[in-house]
Amino acid sequence: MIMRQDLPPAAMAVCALALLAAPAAMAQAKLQAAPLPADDIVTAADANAAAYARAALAQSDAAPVPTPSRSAPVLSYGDLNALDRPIAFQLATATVSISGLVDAVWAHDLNRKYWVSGDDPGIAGAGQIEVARRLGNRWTVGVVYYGEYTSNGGLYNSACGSFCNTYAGGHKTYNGFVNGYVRTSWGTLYGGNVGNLVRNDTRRRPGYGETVLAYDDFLGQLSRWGGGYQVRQGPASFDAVVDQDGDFELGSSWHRPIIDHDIRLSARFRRSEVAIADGLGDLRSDGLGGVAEFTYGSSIYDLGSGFERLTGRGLELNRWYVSSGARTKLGTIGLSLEGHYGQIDGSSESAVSAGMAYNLGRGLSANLGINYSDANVVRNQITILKPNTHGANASLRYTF
Amino acid sequence: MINRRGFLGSGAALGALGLGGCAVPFGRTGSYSGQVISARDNDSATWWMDVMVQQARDSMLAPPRFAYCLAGPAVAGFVAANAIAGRYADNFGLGPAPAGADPEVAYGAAFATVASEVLLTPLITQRAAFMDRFAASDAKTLGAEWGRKVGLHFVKMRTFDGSGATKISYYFNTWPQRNDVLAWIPTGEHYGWNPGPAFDDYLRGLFPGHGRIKPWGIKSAADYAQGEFYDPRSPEFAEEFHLLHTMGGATSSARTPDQAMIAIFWEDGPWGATTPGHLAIIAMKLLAMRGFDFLDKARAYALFGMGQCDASIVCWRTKYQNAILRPETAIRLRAAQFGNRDPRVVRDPHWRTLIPTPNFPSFTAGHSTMGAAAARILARVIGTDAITFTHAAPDQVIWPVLKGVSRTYTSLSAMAEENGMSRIYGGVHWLRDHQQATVNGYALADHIAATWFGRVA
Repeated sequence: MIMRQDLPPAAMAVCALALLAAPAAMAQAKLQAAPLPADDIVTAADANAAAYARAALAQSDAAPVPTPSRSAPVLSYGDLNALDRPIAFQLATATVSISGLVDAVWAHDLNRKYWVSGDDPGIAGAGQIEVARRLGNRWTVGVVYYGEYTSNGGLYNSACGSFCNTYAGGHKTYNGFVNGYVRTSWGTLYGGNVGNLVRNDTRRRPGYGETVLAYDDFLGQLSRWGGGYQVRQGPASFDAVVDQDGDFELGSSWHRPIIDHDIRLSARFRRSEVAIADGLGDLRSDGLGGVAEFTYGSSIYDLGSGFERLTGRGLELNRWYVSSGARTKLGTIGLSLEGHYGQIDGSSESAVSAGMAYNLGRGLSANLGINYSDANVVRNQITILKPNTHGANASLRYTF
Repeated sequence: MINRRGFLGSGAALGALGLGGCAVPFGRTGSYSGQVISARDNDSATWWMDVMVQQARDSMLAPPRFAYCLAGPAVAGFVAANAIAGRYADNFGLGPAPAGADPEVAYGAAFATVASEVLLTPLITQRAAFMDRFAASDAKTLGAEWGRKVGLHFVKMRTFDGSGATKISYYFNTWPQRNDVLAWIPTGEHYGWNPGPAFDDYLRGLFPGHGRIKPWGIKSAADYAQGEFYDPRSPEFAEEFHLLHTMGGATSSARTPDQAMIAIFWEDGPWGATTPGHLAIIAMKLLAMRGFDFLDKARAYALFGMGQCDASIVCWRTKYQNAILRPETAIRLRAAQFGNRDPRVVRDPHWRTLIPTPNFPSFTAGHSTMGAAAARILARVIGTDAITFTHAAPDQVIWPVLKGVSRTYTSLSAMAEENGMSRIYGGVHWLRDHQQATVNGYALADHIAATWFGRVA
């Protein structure tokens, strides 16, 4: 048996050292010195420490060396450590941090006759730079720039959430977003490209891998510029966004254990506009939606629904939908399955996504997604919902 | 702040936007105190401590962050109330308080003022619910004004204490860079526990800057961040290697089922009350029914909060200044590189721990430092280590396997030992991590208990 460190004298030495001076953190503090305790409390604790260690060591001494497996993993977590640490540095009194991801994507359209022919491998990437610092009044101020790039203008990829270039007025291959914020104990104020603020906090969680469940949002979208507010109060968070046109979105989520399960509930209302491709005028949208999420162990099950009323250009359309999903994590593999069904003015919309993410190593993952959607809603010669997406995407992703 | 996985989840959105009677079983209400104490023991100090633990769960705070958050509110609340009552030493020199002010109201006002700043939440409903406990009066008004003044004093005092989120997550290079075979590398993949929570894989190191935060109750974290790890060629290291290889593996036959349950019982994560919250719930339970009044308990929680905060700072300092590898890395990757002649030091590439290996260096152990600090401060306050109690884990919703499980201890130090040893049984810490952490935790707790807020003669 090895000799163990003699705990009581070491403890006393450390304690005596610290008692020599007053706490520097509270220079104004007036402290009263007290003698070091050497009593039953210390004696009992030392006895317990020795007993627990002795028992564990005796147990292991009696156990044979486990038979090791002869094979070594192809890629162990000791590899790919080049970007273990976040890329961050100090700029004057602020902290600058940089993060991002790069996807090598293979996207296949299941409607094509041939499996490979016509599929162009693509690259998608996203990066973010943030500059932030704390002020003397304890507020934190910061600026974030986020950009996403795709080599293929029509790429349907989870790095971008859906099509990389779908933002109204967006560029085919690159789009940038910027916002500034002030974070205080009374919440965070944002200004800039904040259109997703409420949705991010209240939506169904996206599936694993290259999945993008189509139509799982209101058709009406907020404009590019706006301001937002977000605050947490106990288990609830509240979000609000107003865009440059006066449209807005309000949302709240609530997350806490109920009875024996972890439950998250969220709801949101969005007043916005649906941009119509013909450029002859938009539709007004009022949408109300909610999500209920249930966590058991490493699995999450959820159910979302929404109602949206679309008006304008001689149309009055009611849309409703239900979305649901299940996701689970088995070791390094995440699996998800999601479905969506809804109707606009009696015409159906449906979507299914199945995804997998396999974390291969530090920052490296293999992703797969099968995304199917079916809807083609045209009223008064206005295309309300785009035609189908039937695709299988695979990507190798590196994040840093 | 976003981490690697947070970024992945952000998709097309701006990633940074997401940033941002005692008979009720755990999980059935939002409150933790209501599950361990009766209503008559739920005084103002305990009420606010319960609010803090709930916030740890609701905001999904990491354990060291929550440990930091416990100190300021509890100290501010006690100082405000004690300045009115004058029973204990005024170590911060903020008194005297306005005559006639209600000390409990002052406690709540000071506590909430600091808590809302460290937790980044306004605590609107909690403040309102607390103030509703008191009838309108001049004493209430004076107490609220005084408490807010004290709270703002502490907020200002700690604004640049190094705890900002823009600091603690970065700057690994401020610590010595280790390049030998003991060097820590961040956590690998998660193996899964069924049923158990999902953990992210390949996480980056958590809070490298936490060990540079100014402590509350000790002069310097460096004074307590003591001890060195073993030479990897030594027989002591070989003994530890064999201990973890045999006892900490997912399929260990040397570990008893009870020890496996201990590892899960004290896991306290990845969200929920967390380790300091778990210990705070034990404090609520043990401080009840002992003849302590509100101010005595307020003092106890102030010392407890200081102890948890400083324990987390000391521990994180030892972690990143030593940067010692986890058992998982040693057993799966490095065994052949240690130069240890003991035949038991053999590589096992597919060895898996029972519980997930956390994403920060091994030496010393956070559970052990915080557990020892909590146990010793409670022992000093109550006056004895020999307290027998039974306790259930607070996060049974996250770990379904813990439903109906409770454990009994015959002393506070036995509780601390079991808490610390849970990390060896789980395969994520060396015994040396636990032992040195325990020394450090007891030492800083003894200092805090002997130095701060003594009774005025």
